[in-house]
Amino acid sequence: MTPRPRPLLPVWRQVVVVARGWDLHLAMAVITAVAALGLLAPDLVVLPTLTSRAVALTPTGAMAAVAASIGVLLTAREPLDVIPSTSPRRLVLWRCGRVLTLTAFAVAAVSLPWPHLFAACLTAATAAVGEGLLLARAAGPALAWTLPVLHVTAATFFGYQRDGTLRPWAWLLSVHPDPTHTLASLALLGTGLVVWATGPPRV
Amino acid sequence: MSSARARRPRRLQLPYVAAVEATRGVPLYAGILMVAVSVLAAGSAGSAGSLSPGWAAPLSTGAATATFLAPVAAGASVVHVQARRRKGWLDAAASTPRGASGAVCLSAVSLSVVTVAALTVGTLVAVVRADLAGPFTAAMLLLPATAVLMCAAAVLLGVWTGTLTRSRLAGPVLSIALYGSATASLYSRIDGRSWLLWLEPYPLDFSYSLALEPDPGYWLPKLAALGAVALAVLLVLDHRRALGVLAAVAGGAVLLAAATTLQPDVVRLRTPPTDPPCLDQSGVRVCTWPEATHLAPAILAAAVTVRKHNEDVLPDLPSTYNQLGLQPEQPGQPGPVGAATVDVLTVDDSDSTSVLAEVRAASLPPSRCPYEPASADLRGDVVELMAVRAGEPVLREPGDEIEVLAQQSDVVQARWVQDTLEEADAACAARPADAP
Repeated sequence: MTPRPRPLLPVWRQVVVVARGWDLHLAMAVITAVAALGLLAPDLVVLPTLTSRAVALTPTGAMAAVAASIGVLLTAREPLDVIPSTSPRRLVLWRCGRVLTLTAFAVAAVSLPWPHLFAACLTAATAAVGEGLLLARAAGPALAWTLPVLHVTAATFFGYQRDGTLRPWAWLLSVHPDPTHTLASLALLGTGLVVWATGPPRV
Repeated sequence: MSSARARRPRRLQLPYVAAVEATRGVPLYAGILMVAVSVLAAGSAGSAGSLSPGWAAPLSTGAATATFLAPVAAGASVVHVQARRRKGWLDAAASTPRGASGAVCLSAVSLSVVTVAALTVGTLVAVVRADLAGPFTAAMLLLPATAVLMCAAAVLLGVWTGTLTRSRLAGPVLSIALYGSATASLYSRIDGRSWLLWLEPYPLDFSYSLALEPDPGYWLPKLAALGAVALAVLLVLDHRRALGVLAAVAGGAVLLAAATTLQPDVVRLRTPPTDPPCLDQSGVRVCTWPEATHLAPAILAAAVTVRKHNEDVLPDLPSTYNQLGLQPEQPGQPGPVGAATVDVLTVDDSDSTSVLAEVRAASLPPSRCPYEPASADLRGDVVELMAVRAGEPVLREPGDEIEVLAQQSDVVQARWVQDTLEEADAACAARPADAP
């Protein structure tokens, strides 16, 4: 009887290696750091707005959620593009599961300091991850963070109308988002996931 | 001869190479994103005639887009250089006589090109949507010049960071740090430490009305400092570190010297015309900037209405109303008796309610502390009484103090007005330094 070949690494080491390949440790560190900083921050901040004459209050949770989404988007690249391609169906599941789990973790972590702003955190995080995944498919995972960052920074300066209300395109800064806003963000996340996960893996 | 010319190897010029570099890979995608977002932002800012007439407001709006374009451009530069290094392009360039610094600088040029293109498109959108009937002065060009230098400095900083680290977090962290610097200095300035204004990448909370233009005393040192930062990074990238440090120190020295010796503001009043156009009626005179003569009839009608309804309770109503900047005094400071400064530049002349409200507020004696909330509230009560006397609907509960007062005799109302204005001036004692 031929002896069974011994694996090169124990299973838990294999999991760690795979997780490191996807930068999961870095993503978790970013999300945890953002949530920890949130413990020191106020609920709402007054950011410099160019287009509003009224005082515009921005939820810190939404800003933190976008920052945490950068951590999620770090995992959008694959360590190798050859081996996972041999099983495309499982590859799509792995990719979707990975990003969805991390997005849920990011929303939960960022909502901890501001539980009453959960809807704002959910809306901002899902929109940011969705946008980033769409860009990751088009331009590569290294640039994925630029679209949410550009969107949220432009929205803080120009996204408010004269009376302090948000323009439609700046919905991800809503303090109390409408259900339509949250649904739009979830739809963006779904679209981004499908478009990105069905695309070719990029290292 | 022509065949000899054809055989001669063609030398690629920098603009051609930079254009090729800017239209592929990271610069292309970053450029498309930045153009799209700057158009969206500048288009939103200039919607529904929200910008003051003239060139300063749209140029400032376009330049303000640099406050979010520059951080993202810096982060994209990090990503671009890291990708170049990972794929071996920089190693290949390092084996040539020019070395890797030429390739790195080319990356900086290509990203600067796309960032400035996005900035230009955003500015054009703001300019197209603005009312350009107002003035254009040379000082206004300082706004786009600062924005361009800010973007170039940010891109160079990003490229340099990309050569120093392989971390995938470097790009987003640099972007967020630069964005944070644009907002953190504003928070610090609220505490009254006005010297921090010099450290702001672009002062955001200043609006440019028809009477205002950038103050070169503030913008020129800032421009020099930004240029010095860009030059310093460029020299460091070219392995001339000593010269780079020297340039950075020079830039810091210029900024420090300006912050400690000069006391300019971000904006200054334009030079007023010697003979501004004026309109007279019923003993009231309204003078406007030559570019805003279309507002004069609405202001005059409002001033006559205010005089008609309130001369019994406010005997010292002004006889002359000047638009902001036409008087030598600064806004908010006491002016000559019988003259009031009226800033109606931000209202539409068809909106008679807004003009009336501004004329009423300007008809009171100048405030000693316009930024003191207690004083402003008391003066607001007087303005509200003036509105009630004119029969305007006011958002007050029935039986409110102002409603009751408006039904009493003119003598009682005049005494109340005088007492309230004295009380408003007394409230200024709580805030001796009259700073916003």
